[in-house]
Amino acid sequence: MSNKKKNNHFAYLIAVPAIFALLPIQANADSQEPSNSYFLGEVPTVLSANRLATPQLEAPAAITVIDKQLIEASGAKEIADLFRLVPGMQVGHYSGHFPIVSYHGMSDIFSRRMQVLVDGSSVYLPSSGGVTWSDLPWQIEDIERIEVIRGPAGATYGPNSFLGVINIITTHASQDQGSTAKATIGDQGYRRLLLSNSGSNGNLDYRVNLAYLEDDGLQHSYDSQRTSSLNTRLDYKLTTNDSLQLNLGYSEGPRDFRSADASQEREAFYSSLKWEHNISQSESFYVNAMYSYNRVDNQFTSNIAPGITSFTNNDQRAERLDLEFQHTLEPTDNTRLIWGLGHREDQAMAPLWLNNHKTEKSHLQRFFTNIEWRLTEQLILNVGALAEQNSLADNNISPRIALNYLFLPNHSLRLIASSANRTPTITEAHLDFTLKTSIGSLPHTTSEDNLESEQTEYFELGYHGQFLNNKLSGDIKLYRQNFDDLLSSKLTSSLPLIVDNRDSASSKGIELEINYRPSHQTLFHGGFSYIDIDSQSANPDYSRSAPTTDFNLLASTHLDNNWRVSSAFYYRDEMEWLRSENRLGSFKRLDLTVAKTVKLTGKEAITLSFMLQNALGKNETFVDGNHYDNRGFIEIDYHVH
Amino acid sequence: MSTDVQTIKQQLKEEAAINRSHSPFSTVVVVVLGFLLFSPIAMAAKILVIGDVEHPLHQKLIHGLSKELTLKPGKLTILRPDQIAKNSLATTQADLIITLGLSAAKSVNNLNSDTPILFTLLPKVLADNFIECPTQLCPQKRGALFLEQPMNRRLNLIHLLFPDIKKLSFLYGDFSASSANELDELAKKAGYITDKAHIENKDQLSRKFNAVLEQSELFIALPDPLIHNRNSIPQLLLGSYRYNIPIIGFSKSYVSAGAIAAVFSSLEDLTKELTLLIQTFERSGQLPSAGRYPSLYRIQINRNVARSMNLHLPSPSLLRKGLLALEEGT
Repeated sequence: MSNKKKNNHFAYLIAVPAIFALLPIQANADSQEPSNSYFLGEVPTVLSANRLATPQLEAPAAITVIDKQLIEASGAKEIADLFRLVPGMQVGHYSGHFPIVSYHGMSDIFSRRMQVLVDGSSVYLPSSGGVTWSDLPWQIEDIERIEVIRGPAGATYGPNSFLGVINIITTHASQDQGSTAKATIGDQGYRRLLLSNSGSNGNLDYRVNLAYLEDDGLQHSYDSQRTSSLNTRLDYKLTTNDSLQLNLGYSEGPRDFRSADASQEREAFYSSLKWEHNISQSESFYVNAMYSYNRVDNQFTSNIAPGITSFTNNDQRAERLDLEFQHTLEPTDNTRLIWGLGHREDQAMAPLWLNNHKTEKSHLQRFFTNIEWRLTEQLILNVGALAEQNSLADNNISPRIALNYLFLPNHSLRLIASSANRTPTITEAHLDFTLKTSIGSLPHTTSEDNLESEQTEYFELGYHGQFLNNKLSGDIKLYRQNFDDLLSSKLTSSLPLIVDNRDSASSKGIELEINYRPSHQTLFHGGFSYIDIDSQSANPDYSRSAPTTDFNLLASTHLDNNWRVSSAFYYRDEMEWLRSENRLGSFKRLDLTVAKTVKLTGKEAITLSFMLQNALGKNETFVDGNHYDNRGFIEIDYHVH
Repeated sequence: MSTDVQTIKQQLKEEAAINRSHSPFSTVVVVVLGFLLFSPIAMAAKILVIGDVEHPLHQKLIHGLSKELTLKPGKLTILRPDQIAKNSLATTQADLIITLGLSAAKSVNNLNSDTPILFTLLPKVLADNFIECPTQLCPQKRGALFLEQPMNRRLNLIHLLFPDIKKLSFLYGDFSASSANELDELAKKAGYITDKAHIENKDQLSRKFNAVLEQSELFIALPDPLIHNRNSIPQLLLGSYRYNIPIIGFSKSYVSAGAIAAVFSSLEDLTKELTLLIQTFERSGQLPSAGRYPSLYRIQINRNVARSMNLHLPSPSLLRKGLLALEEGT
């Protein structure tokens, strides 16, 4: 692995779309004769089972859907902020450019117990785990919807679906075609420019985004960033029943980290190619290949005591290659079967955590299946499992059984029992954190040989209801979750600390969510969570890792004359991120958005928006002394169809 | 009247003048289906089918027709549209001419023969132009079997699927202007509020589609190649899905692609319908002179899309019973 990779990734970004451009283009169908085949011929499958949102009434999980309307209404400037809308989810910032997103706490700076997918490809960082949200090349404008699965779901979403899953679906390239130029300025040196173009040529639809972001980050914190990113999505209709989707994304730029001498250079490349074949309305399969690359250059020295200097080499390289095959079919009228296979190759170099410059590798094979069986019109049984063979830990099986009872057509009760595993990351499995100082090296934390996967058992009783012709929906769940073999180190007076599978914990709670959309112009969203985590461990203290209660409320409406106003309020009780050693007080955030759209011509429009975040003032986050303050933004968005 | 339809009409009139000058005797290329068996109830009428024998749909229809009808050998002749001008004899010797599709209809529109013509595999808006004699001097009886469903049947389906829905939207172009008027009138009569937009070119599609969706609970696809084609259907389906607004399609494949439901006649239905029309013709010498919509049809529902939108829809068999009851009631 070297810097030469950067050039290779640029080459991919140019060469691969060029190959797509050479694919045969079918003549424009506008001239199709409006007889014969027009009525009786074939049309490419668009809303295939793989592209459809999971039906909440029948789903074997509690799901929060954050769609484009909710995203727009939230006024969020970064993807991570959207998860404040999810009951039970915590969003924090280790620094201005390092958001952390977790569900039900249990997270330190790296949220390792969540699965995050973009268009079906995991963006989980193979080296340290979690997701480095600011490295993702996707812009908030690229997102069609996000499905947050609140609970373990390995049987359908793959490894690391331990606490929950964030499933991000980007907008198909055939939608919202045209060109956009969007410029945003805000407090704390926020400057963002987005240029986007999408269109089609015969069977090929494309979207290309170019974005540049400058941001000084949190107040009184050394955490500015300058990030450039390029992102492409191509959708190609191979035949009536076959489609290809190519995603390519690249981001890079410097980030300040802790002090003036500790700046990082970061680079990330994500690519995926999916071939989907629809055999019939009820049967389809896809093959998805993804590759990601992350680079961090970050070496610095610091004075840790008079006359003693420490040297930190926080350079990181991480690569992931993943192949997945999934087949969906309906063997009988009342059953639906999903099964699939996957293979993953990870590699990472992280001298700070591994105390060497070696590239450590791991691989994983997986088989997953879920059968949905309609026992009667009212009863739906889901039985599924994920089986993993991982080079870093023992083989695992994560089963799930769920029963949905539709006691009325728009009202369902669900009972879920599942267990899941989390495999250690490369840096956990080979951990050797050693302090390098001017007076010598000091081994600080290492991991036990042969770490095992973390285990969890989960039970849920839930209700989902749709009212008023689906304009109003409500969801409530009661749950209990037990954790075993959690990875942590015993706090001793002598170094090094040893990480092993020593901790256990349990949590229980209740969550509510309400969505009301009386018209296309108006929406309300609300969420509430109560959680009680019990753990004997004092370090880290899992019981404080999530707030006891949190809630969010959002309202948005389009007024006459193309005005839009929205407001969101987020509250959470005090909490403490694991290993942050900083007890955070309660959090109250009020965001306001006012926007006006002016139609210039039939094809052109300008939207001017003003957003105020944290209108109620300061809120602490993660590291002692770091806080969010109120922050205004002005945005101008020019769009031509 | 739409530009497309006017163009076709104009072309037909121009061709009328040219075709009358063709010699009636030319090279004959006839495909005779020799596999048809003698039967005591075999049809005596000689039928000339004009269609593209290489077109899979035409092939299938002809094959189906030959199975449904029991014809004596040599009673069924098939010609391509480009062979008509040189084979006037075949047209005069036949008892009935059946055209498949637009090219075939054009090829016989100015035929100087008194053999009755039945136009098929055409939507109403095109078939009407052929039923109406281009020169006022057509020597033959003319009739048509339309491809699409009558508008009240589509509205009945909507009523059965979504009894609580009140706001309908649709887009129309020049081609579908008359269907749009009919839909608007019938929908309003049935108590619906409609929102519609006229599409002049494909650049307007996305913007106007989003605009009509804003006021809509259901979008109805009216057959129009400018609006609903292989390239535009993905953005229409994805756009409606974004706002949780179902689309009522007009074909089976539209439903497979992602529309919530459609009532349509399959090729098999049309073949059977055509068989009935031929049998009626042989008995009575009558053709549906004003054209007719298919009476045989089926209903397709996309269960996956319905589930994903949290919609509970009746089964196709129940819907079919409901449609029959409503049609009988009217």
